[in-house]
Amino acid sequence: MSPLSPLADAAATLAQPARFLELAERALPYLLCLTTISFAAGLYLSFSSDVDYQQGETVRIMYVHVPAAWMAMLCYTMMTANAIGSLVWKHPLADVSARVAAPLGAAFTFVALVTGAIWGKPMWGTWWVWDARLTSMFILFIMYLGILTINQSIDEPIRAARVTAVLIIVGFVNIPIIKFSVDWWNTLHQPASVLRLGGTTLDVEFLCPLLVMSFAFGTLFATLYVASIRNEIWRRKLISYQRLAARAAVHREHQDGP
Amino acid sequence: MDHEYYVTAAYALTFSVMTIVALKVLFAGRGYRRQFAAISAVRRRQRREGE
Repeated sequence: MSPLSPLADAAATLAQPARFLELAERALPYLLCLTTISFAAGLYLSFSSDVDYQQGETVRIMYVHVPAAWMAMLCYTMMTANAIGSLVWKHPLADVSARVAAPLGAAFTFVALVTGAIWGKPMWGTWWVWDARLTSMFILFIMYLGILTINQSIDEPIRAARVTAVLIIVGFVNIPIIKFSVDWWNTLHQPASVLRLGGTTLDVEFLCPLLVMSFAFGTLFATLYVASIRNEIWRRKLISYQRLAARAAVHREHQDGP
Repeated sequence: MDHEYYVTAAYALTFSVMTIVALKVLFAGRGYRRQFAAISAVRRRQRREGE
C-alpha cells in the first residue's frame, strides 16, 4: 500500500457531493468563528503597530492590500488545480469548485487593485501607472470577469465546464508573470519583501500584523469557498429536482391524454 | 488630504466588498435551504399519500 493511499482515499471521500455537504455543514461554524477571531486580532495588530518612518500611517494599507493580492493569486491557483481535475478526471465537484472560486477571486483582485491605487496616490503621487505588476494584476481581474461571463453564458453545464477549465488553465500563465513582474521589468511597484528566496526584509513590527491579517483573509476565503461550493451543489440538485418534476408532469399528461 | 483618510478609505473599501460578498453567499445559501425544505415537505407528503 502506498503511503499516499490514505490521503487519496480521504480526497476521494471528500469529493463525493453528499459527503462534502455533510462535512461543510459541520465545518462552516468553526471556520466562521476562526475568521471572526483572526480578523479581530488582525485589526487590533494593524492599528496598534508602529507607523513607518517614511510612509507614516499609510503603511497600514499594506495589511489589507497584500493579503488581498495573495488571496487573488491563491484563488486562481486553486481554480487551475480544480480545472485540471475537471478536465482530466471529469469530476463534477472539481467543476463546481472551479466555478464558485471565480467571483471570490474577482472580489479579492478588485480589493487589491483599489487599495493599491489608494496607497499609490500618497506614496507615488499617482493613482495608477501601467507598470508590469499593476497591469498583470488588472489582466487577472479581467480574466476573472471573463471566466464568470463565459460560464454564465453557456447553458449546457458539461460544455460550460470544459470551456471554462481550458480558459482557466491557459490563463494560469499570468500568475508567475504577476509574481516575477517586479524582478523581470523595471517597475514603480516595489519588489517582493516577504515571499522571497533571501528571506523577508520586513521588520517584525510590520510582519506580525501582515501575517495575522493574511491568515484572516485565508480563513475568510476558506469560509466563503466552502459555503459557495455547498450553495452550488444545492443549486444543481434543485435544478435536477425541477427537471425530474417536469419530466414526471409530461409523463402524467401522456397517460391522462386521449 | 491627510494620510489617515487614505488608510480609512482602504479599510472601508476592503470590508465593504468582503461584507457584500459574504452576505451574497449567505443569502444564496439561505434561499437554497428554504427551497430544499419546501421540496422535502412535498416529497414526504407525496410518499405518505402513496402508501
